[in-house]
Amino acid sequence: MKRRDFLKATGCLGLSLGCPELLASSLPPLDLIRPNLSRVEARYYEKLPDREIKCTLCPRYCHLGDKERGYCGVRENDGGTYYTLVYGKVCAVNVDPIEKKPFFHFLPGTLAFSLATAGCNVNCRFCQNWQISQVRPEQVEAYDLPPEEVALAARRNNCPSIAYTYTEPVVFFEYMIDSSLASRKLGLKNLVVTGGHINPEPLEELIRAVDAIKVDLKSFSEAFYKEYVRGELKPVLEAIKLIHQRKMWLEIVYLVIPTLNDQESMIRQLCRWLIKEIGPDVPLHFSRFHPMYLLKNLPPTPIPTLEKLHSIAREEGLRYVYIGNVPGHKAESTYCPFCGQLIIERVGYQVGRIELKNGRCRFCNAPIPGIWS
Amino acid sequence: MSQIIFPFLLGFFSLSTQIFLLREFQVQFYGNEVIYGFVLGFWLLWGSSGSLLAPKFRLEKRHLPLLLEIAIFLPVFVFPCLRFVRFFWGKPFGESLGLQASFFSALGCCLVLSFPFGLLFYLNVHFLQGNLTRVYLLEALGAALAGLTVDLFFIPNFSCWQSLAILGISGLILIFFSNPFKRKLLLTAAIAGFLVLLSLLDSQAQKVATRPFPLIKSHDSPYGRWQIVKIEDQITLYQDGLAVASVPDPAEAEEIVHFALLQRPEAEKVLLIGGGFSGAIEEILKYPSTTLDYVEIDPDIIPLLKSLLPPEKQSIFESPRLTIHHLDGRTFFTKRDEIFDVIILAVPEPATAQLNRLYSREFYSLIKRHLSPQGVISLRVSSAENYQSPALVRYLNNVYATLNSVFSRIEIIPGDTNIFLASDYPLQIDLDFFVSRLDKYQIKTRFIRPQVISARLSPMRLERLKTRIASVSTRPNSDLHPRGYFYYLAYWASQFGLNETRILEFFFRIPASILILLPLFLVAAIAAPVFISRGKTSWPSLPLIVLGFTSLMAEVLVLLWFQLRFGYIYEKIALLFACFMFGLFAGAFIGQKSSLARISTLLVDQAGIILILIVLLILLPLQISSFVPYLFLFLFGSLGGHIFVLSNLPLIRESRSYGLGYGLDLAGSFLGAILGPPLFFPLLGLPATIISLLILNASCLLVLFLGRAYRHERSLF
Repeated sequence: MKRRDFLKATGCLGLSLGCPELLASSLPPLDLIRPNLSRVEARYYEKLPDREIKCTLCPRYCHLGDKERGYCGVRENDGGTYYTLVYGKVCAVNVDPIEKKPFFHFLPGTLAFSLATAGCNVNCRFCQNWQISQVRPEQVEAYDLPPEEVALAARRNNCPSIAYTYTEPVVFFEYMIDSSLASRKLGLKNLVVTGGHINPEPLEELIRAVDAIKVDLKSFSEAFYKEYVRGELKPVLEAIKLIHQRKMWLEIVYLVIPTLNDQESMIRQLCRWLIKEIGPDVPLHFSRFHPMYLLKNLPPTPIPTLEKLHSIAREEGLRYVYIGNVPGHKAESTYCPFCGQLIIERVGYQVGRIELKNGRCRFCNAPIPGIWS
Repeated sequence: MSQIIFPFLLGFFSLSTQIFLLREFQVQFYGNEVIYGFVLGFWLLWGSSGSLLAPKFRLEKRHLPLLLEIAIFLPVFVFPCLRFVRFFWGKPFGESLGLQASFFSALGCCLVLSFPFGLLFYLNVHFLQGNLTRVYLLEALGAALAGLTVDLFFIPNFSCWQSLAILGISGLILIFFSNPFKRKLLLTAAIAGFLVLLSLLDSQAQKVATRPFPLIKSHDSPYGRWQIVKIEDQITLYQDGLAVASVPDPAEAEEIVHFALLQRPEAEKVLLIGGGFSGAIEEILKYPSTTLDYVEIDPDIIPLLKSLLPPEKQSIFESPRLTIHHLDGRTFFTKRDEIFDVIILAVPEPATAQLNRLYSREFYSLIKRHLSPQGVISLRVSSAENYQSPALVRYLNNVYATLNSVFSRIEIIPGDTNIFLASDYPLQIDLDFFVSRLDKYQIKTRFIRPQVISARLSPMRLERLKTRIASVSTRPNSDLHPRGYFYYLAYWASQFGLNETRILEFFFRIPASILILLPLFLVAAIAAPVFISRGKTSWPSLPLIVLGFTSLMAEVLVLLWFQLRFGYIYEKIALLFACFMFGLFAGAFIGQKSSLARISTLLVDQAGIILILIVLLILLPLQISSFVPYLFLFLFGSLGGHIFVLSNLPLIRESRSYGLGYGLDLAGSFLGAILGPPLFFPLLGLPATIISLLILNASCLLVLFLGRAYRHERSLF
């Protein structure tokens, strides 16, 4: 083959390989959802020369030029000012049992007014809410729900608490703070369900504004975080420590994905770290994985695996260890760690008997940590 | 003898390798029409490129046996790469691979495997001193026999790698002993050795590919590859790389069964189509008055699974209240008269035209004839609990619209999966209803109970899902307009990112009138450079491009038509395909008579294609006798083979054009593969696709006619 022919063929091949990408990126999306974006200045960023900014909300520290967006896709630099595009723009609103979040030691048996905007600052391959977390805000149908309205809506639905959940509430930080402050005035509690990718300074502000935080700890391995979450473990552990130090109510959920993050040694390390840094009273939920999103072809977690991890955690000294997504399992219920009696009966998301009196076990009077009323 | 064997082996190995490649792709990626389109399309494209570019490689006749041996050897390299392709893309076992990964993987694999076959065609014509017709005849015969032997003998009895090895070694022996040039025993033996290694390493390679999950069993059946992975006491069943069910996993089984059966808890006859191994059978038999008919198309799967279940679970398959039928779901209804109280469809989602048959208006109408007046049907589809994206909403709306075109009452259970219930009799899905029924009939469940489903059935979620689904409007999915699988594919693609969805959804926006004319423009785009570079002498080759496009689209369309009318029967699909190839052989055989090498013959052939398409268009919606699709395929093949031979005659005057006609034919087929099932069938529908083919072929006839009149030539020589 002559050189000219080879070059022609290679050029054609390159063009044909690149065509689909060029074509796709030039097409506007079909869904002509009228973009419903906000333009509220973000609170955690630094202005830099040449209209650049550095976001300081989460450990990514996105360094952005004019018109660029952060990794989360919901914050944008416009002429040197950083804006959140999802302030007051909710795309998912529900009334859920608080046990669904799950919070087991916080107002058991009550309802949580749950909401989310689009966006997330990580990319979990197993995200249950990928349709709103792994997209840009222009791709979801959002409607306006100002902070004051959040509180009123929660009241109308007889919810004593508001949960910022589904996606990653850190990315709608300003909205979450303002909604929390507004709902506090009405006597409502505020709960955050987060992956924990947040910097210390905004986390301090968040802790002052809300009443409970549940952290989704995906694994106790940096490699897992890098491979399956596109994030880092270390900042999450720092966030957990800070939450505990500020005496904010904390629960931890560990989604157990078979063979990926269920190694016994890893779980023991996690439990020992929790005992050392947080203490034995932090509720730890081992949640059963259901195939989802990009990991739809993995098997669900076998129940014996969850039971094994549950035993390990109890052996290591954690007092309140639960198994989630297995309705009817006895490890859904709370047992007094001192006398062993059943003190909060749960089946699925429903609470049965509660054997507590003033936050103490009715049988042996031992204090049971939590927010019970 | 080599002048017979070499062209025959070209056809045989080209098709057999293609079949195994498609099956392997099905396992490693996801078996949907877009993926099939990529593999088939790139196979044809690279084969075409090999044929067109062959003159530039300065190949000689003596290279022919060596190139054949290389073509037999290449799967030894490509198939293991394909088995572990996910590691190349950085994706572990269990993670889905999207359109981008499948596009480039198909492009790469087909380049390596198919390009040599294109070269081989050219070289064979050289070897036979320009007797292209003979090469084509023998190639068609080889392909026809490959289709029959692979589908009817090798796939049911051996794995892909084993089959490649057995066939490859047989081919090497034939090549070696018929080689008229210098024989290279060492090379042949080395290739044979590698093929043996390939077959021996198959099961080990599967185990490595599924790590870290322990693979305990693998079985290739005509319906796909079944693999079983075991962790603790839980076994998970995979079909073609897709997780189908886990045992025990009562959540799934209960969801499939109880939302439907609690509507009619005193049902006497229940039908379950698919999904029996998730535990659904056990759940159905909790209702004491029920007898169950279970339809499972693959007879291999139940014995495979039973052997791994504990004895108390195995015994459920021996229940006197259970009858198992090994049939396609639609075929079951055409062969049986029973009336059922509840019909549960636990089939895979409509990812292909074949699966789409189980989601069409006609199928639901067929089901309704077998449903009692108060009967209920249920089916389950993917969804999202908290927010339904526009792509998902369109898909769900289409399922709803299709059911609604047959049944007057539809209810939808929200959640990460949606359960659709349909009936002409009232349905209820509020929490109190299910609670009271569970209580009254003492049905013991773990997941379908108030403590778990109360959040799922909250009035807010029920209302919002209804509103979301009603916010768009799609036309019902039908057999002849299988739009359902396109909506599903667009939703499936959306999980991989924006670009992949955009490409698919772009085609939604093209008006049907433009889409119908699209083949005309694309064929002109391929033909133009040929006419420009070779002048007006090449105009009789235009039918080759049109032929390639038409025959591939028509072949797939008729295969689909057969399945719509008679169900999916694996052996019959193989026979249908062989019928087409024998037709090619017959047409090419007749075409080699020089007295017929006239322009007018070409015009008659082209007119014949048009006539067959018109008859196909008329018969499409009608009930037909089972021999009719065979006849159509034979006729398409015959005319196609005849046109191929005639159109090539002006080209083979020059040896540099030996591969040109074949290349153009394959280029046309490439367009057909990429556009046909993935786009035209669902977006235009089958009748409009035929109209598009009619316009294309009529335009071709016009060009031929004008060209003949202009040149005043009668003969193609």
